[in-house]
Amino acid sequence: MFTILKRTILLFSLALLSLIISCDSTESPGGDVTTVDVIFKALYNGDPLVMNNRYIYDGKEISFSKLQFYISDLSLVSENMEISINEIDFIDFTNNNINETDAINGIKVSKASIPVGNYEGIKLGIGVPSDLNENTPVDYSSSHPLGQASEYWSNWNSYIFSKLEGKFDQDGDPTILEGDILHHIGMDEMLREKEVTDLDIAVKTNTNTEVIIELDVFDILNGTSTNSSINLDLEGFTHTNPTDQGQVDLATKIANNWKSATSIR
Amino acid sequence: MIRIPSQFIFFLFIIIVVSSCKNDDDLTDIDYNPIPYTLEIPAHFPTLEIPSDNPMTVEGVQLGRRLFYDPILSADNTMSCSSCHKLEHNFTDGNSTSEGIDGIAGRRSAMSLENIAFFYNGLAWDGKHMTLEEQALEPVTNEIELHNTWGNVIEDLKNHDDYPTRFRKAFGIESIDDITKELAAKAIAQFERIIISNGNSKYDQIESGSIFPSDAEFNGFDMYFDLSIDTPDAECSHCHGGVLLTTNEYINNGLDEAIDLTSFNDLGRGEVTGYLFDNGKFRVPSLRNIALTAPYMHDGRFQTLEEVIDHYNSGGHYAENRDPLIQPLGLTEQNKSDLITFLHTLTDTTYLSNPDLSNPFE
Ligand code: HEC
Ligand code: HEC
Repeated sequence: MFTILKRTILLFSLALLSLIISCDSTESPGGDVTTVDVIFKALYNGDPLVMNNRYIYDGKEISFSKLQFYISDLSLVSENMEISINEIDFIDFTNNNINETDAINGIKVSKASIPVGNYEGIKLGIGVPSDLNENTPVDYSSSHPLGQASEYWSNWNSYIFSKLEGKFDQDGDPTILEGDILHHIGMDEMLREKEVTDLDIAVKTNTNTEVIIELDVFDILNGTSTNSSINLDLEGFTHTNPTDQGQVDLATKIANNWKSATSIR
Repeated sequence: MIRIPSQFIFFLFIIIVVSSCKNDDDLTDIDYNPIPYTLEIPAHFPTLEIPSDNPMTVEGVQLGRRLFYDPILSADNTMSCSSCHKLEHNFTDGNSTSEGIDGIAGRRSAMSLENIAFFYNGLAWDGKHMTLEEQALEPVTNEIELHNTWGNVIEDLKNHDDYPTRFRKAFGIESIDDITKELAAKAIAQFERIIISNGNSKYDQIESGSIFPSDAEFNGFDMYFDLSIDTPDAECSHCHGGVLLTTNEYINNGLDEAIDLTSFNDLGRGEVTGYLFDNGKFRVPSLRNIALTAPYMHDGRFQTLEEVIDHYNSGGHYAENRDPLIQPLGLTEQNKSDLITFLHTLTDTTYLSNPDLSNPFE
């Protein structure tokens, strides 16, 4: 009963959303629309990040086995309007960045019906906005970004906004990387909104405009200052478990770093 | 005027006789009025996705049920799907690994089919099949399962006194010759999609607040879901979570030590993807009714839930792709026993009494 109600609300809001988007497009100058390709790339210290390859962090060898996150309310901003180009997408590098070429190419998400024009800025959310975070995977089909049981904590009623997993050398002998890294970030407070304003994005017809969003995993760990950098020996593990303040603090640090590690070209 | 040669008339006559013989294969006299099958799905279960080219019908499900239980699918008429997926073992066979008609043991343990309709991230331990329709074709020809050929099976089905009518009623085929392995697989898949549990185990009732758990159940629940700092986190729900108690991901849960990722006995997911770091990963199984489906793991290496918990408590064996959640858990004997008590709350066999699930030949 409750789920039906939830679903109706969901459908209704989806319909409303598409109305709003379509209203926006008719208001655009000239009314022409085109496709924008948003390309996500994962880096490690500026180089393409290949899953399970070895890198160096804090003088130690490190490798990554999982990297994924939700991106929400992505919009293009111009002087007089804001065009929403996504509600929610799930970006998963885990099975994409398995070699150099695929890592360089990144993950392309195409968005159709974007009004042509010049945009100066981009806004995006890293994580699942609170209104969507009230739903659960059973409210969606399996192909929907929010339809995966693996991306939801039923015990804490939240989607898992981002996951970073890997291994690092703990004992000084890098033959085997015995240290585990697991950073799973979620709960409403962990949503981070990012806005970049000094861009020059010309969306034209007949040419696909590319927007490149880069995430540098080195910066997720290294942060922007000594205070925000991660000491893997002590800070290798968090589920954002709300009953454990240490886990919540670490998750907050990672969420902040994730935001500063994200850049747009 | 052209004279029609009498040989020609005779020839025509033969053709008519032959084609009227062929009319024995015609099924169009039999009604084709399939009735949509109504599934009962617990309200808190995920959305059921049914392929648009295989809608569920009463006739389709009943045909699939027969095929599932009928040894006609095996080369020597001794085994059926149900030989390894037994209702009384929650659709497993109770053995570590399964033996086919030739008595050769396979390398893997038969999986439960409970709630199989909801698993969209690949089927089998390694995810080698994407749909039930595709999966159902495989056991028939598998040398260590039914070891038959589909050619034989189709011939037997065509000559059977009941199946042609059932294929007509389920799929509207016009002639016996229209019976194909694809239709047989569709029917089996329809039957498998009704193997849905009631979602009313003690655990479901605890979740919905309709009953109170015992202290032991509560502590086990707490550890399973990492709920409080009073008990150690057992981390189970991060892999065996969600309504069906599985995330359906492919994971190495530390069963075997592998200094080199090529050294696993069974490469698991890596066999399907060819990606080195997928070697030794297997699909996370659902834990609903887990107390009924020993032995455990893809090769049935653990006989009891106690052995399973001891494995997780130890942190498992090292491999470069062992999941970071597989860590020594520090569970005491009391913790372990509480966790097992909780696992027993996942038992709910009431769905198995659905009359449509039982052997139609008994
Ligand atoms: C000889 C024993 C045996 C027989 C007979 C058999 N199976 Fe299985 N079944 C297995 C085993 C073992 C697995 C796991 C296979 C693997 O992972 O490679 C399995 C897996 C499956 C799965 C995947 C379950 C999951 O959760 O992904 C389905 C579905 C299935 N079988 C259906 C059938 C059907 C339908 C038939 C008859 C056409 C059948 N089986 C006959 C042993 C058997
Ligand atoms: C990191 C993910 C992960 C965690 C955490 C985890 N499991 Fe598992 N579990 C798996 C995988 C993967 C398998 C299948 C492994 C195989 O057969 O190779 C499995 C298999 C099992 C099985 C055997 C199921 C069957 O049908 O044979 C049981 C029982 C089980 N786990 C219980 C637990 C319990 C209890 C916990 C918590 C103490 C737990 N698991 C924690 C991933 C996990």
